[in-house]
Amino acid sequence: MQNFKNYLKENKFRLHLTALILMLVPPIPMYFAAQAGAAGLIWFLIAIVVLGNILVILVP
Amino acid sequence: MNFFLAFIPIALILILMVGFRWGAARSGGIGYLSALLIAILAFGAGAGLLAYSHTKALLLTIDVLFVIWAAFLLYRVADEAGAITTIGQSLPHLTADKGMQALIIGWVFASFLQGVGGFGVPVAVIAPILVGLGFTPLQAVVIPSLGHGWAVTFGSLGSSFIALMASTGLPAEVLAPPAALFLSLAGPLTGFFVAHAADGIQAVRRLAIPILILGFVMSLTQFIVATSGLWNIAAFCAGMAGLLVSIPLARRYHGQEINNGALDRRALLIAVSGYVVLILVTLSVQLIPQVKSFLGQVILQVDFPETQTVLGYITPAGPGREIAPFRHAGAILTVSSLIAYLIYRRANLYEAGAPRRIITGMVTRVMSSSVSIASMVAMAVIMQNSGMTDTLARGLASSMGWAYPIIAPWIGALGAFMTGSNTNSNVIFGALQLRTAQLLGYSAAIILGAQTAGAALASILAPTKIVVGASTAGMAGKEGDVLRKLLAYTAVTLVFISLLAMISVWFDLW
Repeated sequence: MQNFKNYLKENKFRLHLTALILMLVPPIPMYFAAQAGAAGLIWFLIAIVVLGNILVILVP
Repeated sequence: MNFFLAFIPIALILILMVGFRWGAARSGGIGYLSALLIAILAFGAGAGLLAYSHTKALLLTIDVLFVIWAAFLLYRVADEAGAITTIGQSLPHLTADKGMQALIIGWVFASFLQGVGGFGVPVAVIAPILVGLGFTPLQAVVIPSLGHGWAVTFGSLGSSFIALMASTGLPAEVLAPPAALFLSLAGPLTGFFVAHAADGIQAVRRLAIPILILGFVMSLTQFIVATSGLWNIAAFCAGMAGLLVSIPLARRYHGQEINNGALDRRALLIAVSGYVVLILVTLSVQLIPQVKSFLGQVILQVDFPETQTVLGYITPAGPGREIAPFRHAGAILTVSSLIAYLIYRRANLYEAGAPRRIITGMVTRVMSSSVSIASMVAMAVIMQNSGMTDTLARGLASSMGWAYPIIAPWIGALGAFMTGSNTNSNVIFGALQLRTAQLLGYSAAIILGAQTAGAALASILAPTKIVVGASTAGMAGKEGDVLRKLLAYTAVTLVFISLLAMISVWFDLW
């Protein structure tokens, strides 16, 4: 557990960068998915954004 | 029930940042997740609504991050050249009084910067200067935050006021007088708060006269200019008038003489040139119509269809955030940074490898802030489109009834806190405040004046702004400390605006 926390601390910048990409990229295809009425794809893309936010919460 | 559910994301952010001292990034993540869950489970937000909300949030996030990244770039360009240090070392020659330094830089200069730029720039620019002057990082963020709030509505060359007019359909002649009066009266109060934050109650007593003089000059200027139809440059003129009055006042209140050696005027001139460039570029873009229209030819905008929740809350169809990339505040800052870099390089202020250090320093420090802004903007847009924000505002309005003028500025404040912007608060709540005022029989001008004044003064509490300030002052991750410090001051100014609104209604001033 301590090792995991240390890993998160040491790689804070990379993890934040990854989280930012996970938050900012999916909304683009999300717009087109909404126009096409592809609800399944939208939920999948929202899950990616959620993942990005969870990643941010984990980083101390 | 829905009111309390809608309040949960905001409450969580407040509790985590203030109570548990979490950073804005982690708190924003929790706020986003809670807003998303509540929007889906309690407010009936479907896939389509959430998809469009995320896309709208992306546009808003780009809009905000462009400014923040560019502001950091200008800061890094100046800092790498030693300009921040030079300005910091030079100011004590004008006045060694800590309180007076805070007033001139953190109040007057911050108001001026808000007038010409805004968008979080005053805090981002001034916080590192104050750190260089020996203020603690916490003071360095709190002082300019307090100092620029009163200038927000008529700052940024009037963008927040334009939003208020657009969302209500009322003309400037109706809206400007109460808004200008409320904010102008709050101006001197923020000056006292700046002095208090800098050096305690002693500074307030010692500097009461210069605060009143500066406050009177800046407030009167803003009021006269705003009510004369030039509302787009009211805060800019107020800041300029304040700077002119500051010089003789600083000589009068110079504090204890200190031996700092001779003032190197040439070095100071070169150091401030980066910020002079920012002012010149901003004024050129905003005040020269040909330049403004030429740079505004390219516009990024996405059209969104009408969305509806299961509960029936409708968000009308319309265009999303309009981004004009070449006349954007971020573009102005980027161009200013490049010109400033060339000036500093010509003056031989850079050592080898400076460009790389500038870029890496900027990217490293801005990343955490960017993540938190992305989360919180998404949270705010989801809350807005799912009807959570509307539920909050209606709940506040219906529970207050006759005392609505008291709560009006707090609704504006809520919007500014959530969205990080006076402009966005006016967009979200302008029409609602207008309708509620009409239903309750109050003057729309007074209620909307209270809305924008509350939003302006509370915009300093917005986590996005605090994150920017905290990052530039080197206290990223400690945003909760800043928020806690600002809360008390802001509560007093909001109570003050509530009283002004109530008095205005009683005496039927507008």
